[in-house]
Amino acid sequence: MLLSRVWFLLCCLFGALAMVMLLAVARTGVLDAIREQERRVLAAQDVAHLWLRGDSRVLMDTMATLSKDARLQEALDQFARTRAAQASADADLVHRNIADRIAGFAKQIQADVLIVVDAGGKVAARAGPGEKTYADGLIGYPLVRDALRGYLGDDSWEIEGKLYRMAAAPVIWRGPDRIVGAILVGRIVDDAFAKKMQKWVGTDIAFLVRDRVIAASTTSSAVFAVPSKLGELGPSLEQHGRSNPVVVQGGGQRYTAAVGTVRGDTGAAVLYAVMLPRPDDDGLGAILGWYDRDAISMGQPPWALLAAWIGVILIGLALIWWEHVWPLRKLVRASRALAAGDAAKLEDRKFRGSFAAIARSINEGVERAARGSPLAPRSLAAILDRVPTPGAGMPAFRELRASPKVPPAPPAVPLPPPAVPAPPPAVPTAPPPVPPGPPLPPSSATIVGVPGRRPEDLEAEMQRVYRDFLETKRRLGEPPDTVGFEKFAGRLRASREQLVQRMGAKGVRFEVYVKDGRAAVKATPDRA
Amino acid sequence: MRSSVHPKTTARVAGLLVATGLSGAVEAGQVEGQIVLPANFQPAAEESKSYWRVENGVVPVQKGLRDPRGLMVVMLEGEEKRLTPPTVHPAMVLREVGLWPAVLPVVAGTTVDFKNEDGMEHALLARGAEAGSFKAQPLAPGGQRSHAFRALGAHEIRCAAVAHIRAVVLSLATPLFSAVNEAGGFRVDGVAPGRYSLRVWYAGSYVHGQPIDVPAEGPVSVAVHLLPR
Repeated sequence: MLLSRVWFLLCCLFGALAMVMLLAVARTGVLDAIREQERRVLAAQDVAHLWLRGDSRVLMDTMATLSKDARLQEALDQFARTRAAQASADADLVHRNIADRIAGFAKQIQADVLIVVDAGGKVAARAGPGEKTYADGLIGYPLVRDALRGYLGDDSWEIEGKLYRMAAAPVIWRGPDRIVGAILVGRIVDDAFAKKMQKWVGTDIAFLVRDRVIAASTTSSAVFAVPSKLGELGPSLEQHGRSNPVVVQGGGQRYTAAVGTVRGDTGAAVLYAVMLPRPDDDGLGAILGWYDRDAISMGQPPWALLAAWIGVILIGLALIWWEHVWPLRKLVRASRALAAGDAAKLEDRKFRGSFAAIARSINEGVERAARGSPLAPRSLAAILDRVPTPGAGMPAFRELRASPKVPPAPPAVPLPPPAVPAPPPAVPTAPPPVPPGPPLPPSSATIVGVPGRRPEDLEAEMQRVYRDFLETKRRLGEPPDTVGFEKFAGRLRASREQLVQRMGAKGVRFEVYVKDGRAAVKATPDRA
Repeated sequence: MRSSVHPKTTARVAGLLVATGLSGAVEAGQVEGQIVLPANFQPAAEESKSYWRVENGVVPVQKGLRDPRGLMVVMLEGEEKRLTPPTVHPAMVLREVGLWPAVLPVVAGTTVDFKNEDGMEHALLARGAEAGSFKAQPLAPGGQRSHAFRALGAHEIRCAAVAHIRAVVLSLATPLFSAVNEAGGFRVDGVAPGRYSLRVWYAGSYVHGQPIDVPAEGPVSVAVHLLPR
């Protein structure tokens, strides 16, 4: 019993521990994957920064090359002079010359915007949006101011709702050396630009101007959730120009995103976000989904663990069989033997624990029932002890009579008339009536033991009684008794002697009769 | 950014004003002077935020199209006076994709007019204490909007349409102030006799302070020497 309980306890503990460990391992895997993904996003953020920096450098170097164009230098110098002279017709002519020149440049370098300004920051010509307009001032742009001071640089401009990556270089007149203007190029930041950048960065990328998404390499609606994070990312972006990874969600998709500023004089107004689809990390299903098939292939630790688990279960089942099933079967067999009369009682020594207690309880119950109920034991000795006697004071039955539950003697027991001088050697008597149950065949023998007879006769009578007893049992279908004749005869003699001594009888008659459907022997003192 | 009172201020003033040609214009009730930058003074706007800012390698880079002194404000702080905003509104103008002047000092409570003389639509807004009452609104070319700056301090004005546009309205608790021109000169009129503290504001903070005494008669000329940034 104890071992089974301990096994159950250990089994539960082991199972719970195993479950917790498996989930913890899986959860650890999930967290590792998320951390790894966040590292990837941060790495992509670095790559995006470098790519934008490199792209700006390419644009800037291109402008440095174009700024060396002698015709452009001369035209710009003329443009400034004509404007200073307020010769609008001449300025218009120079503007058209410059416009034609830079139109070819724009095609050559595939620029979306190409602008040339004079030394005062006034537009001499444009290629791209607003190319019909000129002489407007752009000196407010830090990029233009810096170029006119002699710097090559880059910036981000928003023109008519579109974002452009800009680069500028001063245009230097070489005789004598002086800055006569600047040339600026712009590449539009659109979805095509984002997809081109995605190939280099390795993650999806989106561009934002303030809280508006203007270009993205993905069509996922999660992109439009990025602006909602800018409030919490603002301080980090202002201070460091980049953010830590955050989770953005939209349209049922979750992304891990890191935001960075596109450097320029726009401050934190122009941003890019690198994004990777975030692994599902919520719920048991998500955790179990992270188990790798290779991790549960044959020969891997999980199978050894499973085999150990099955072994533990088998041990537990064996303990259950040893402690419960087998003793129970043994008890069932013993109980059947008891019920069939093959055993007088259950041998409680053969059982353990609760089963021994059950056996003892059954034995006690049987004994109590035997003392107080009409059910008699089936052993011959008990039968002999329980033979009812018509007379009181028979020593052989005193104990039984003293019990209030001892049933009265069968009323049909005939007492021999006292006037009978001498009992015949074998007087057949009518069989005693069977109180309950269906009628049975009558008892076949009545044996009379007469004192004074020769021992040989007495022995012969006892053998007849014994044979009749066995025959009656056989007819009643009772199992054969294992009591031998000597023991049977010994008990008869003892009863006879007790009756003779206590009742002064001269002899004792033994009768085999049927009581409650079973064979029994009745002793009747003979006073004649 | 450090500031200090130059120990030989008074001694240098006369010669300096003579050198700059401002000495003859000084009148009673005026405080006039010159801001002198150290040789290694680093303007606040010099810090580039772009990926690249490379010198051309052919001609020397010019110091700047704007002298940093043009972004400074001088003020005199003395006895408490009741502030009376001017009836004529000072203006800030959007022009050539910029907002001018870059710094506009006003008395607290002054209404400033913002005019769009640019060829494109702008949307100005304030950051800081006036952010709640001065939000971005479309300002078409030729349009104008006004706003009274009641809170003291520097109010950054930005454009929601063009990110680089920035200017500052400096709301002061004294009517005795002057913007500094790009040559470093300044003049404060209507100064009553008394002891004042002269302070210089630049790029978001006060970079200089010194006491000055304004007599009942006669002009006051000062030279302000800033320490290197």
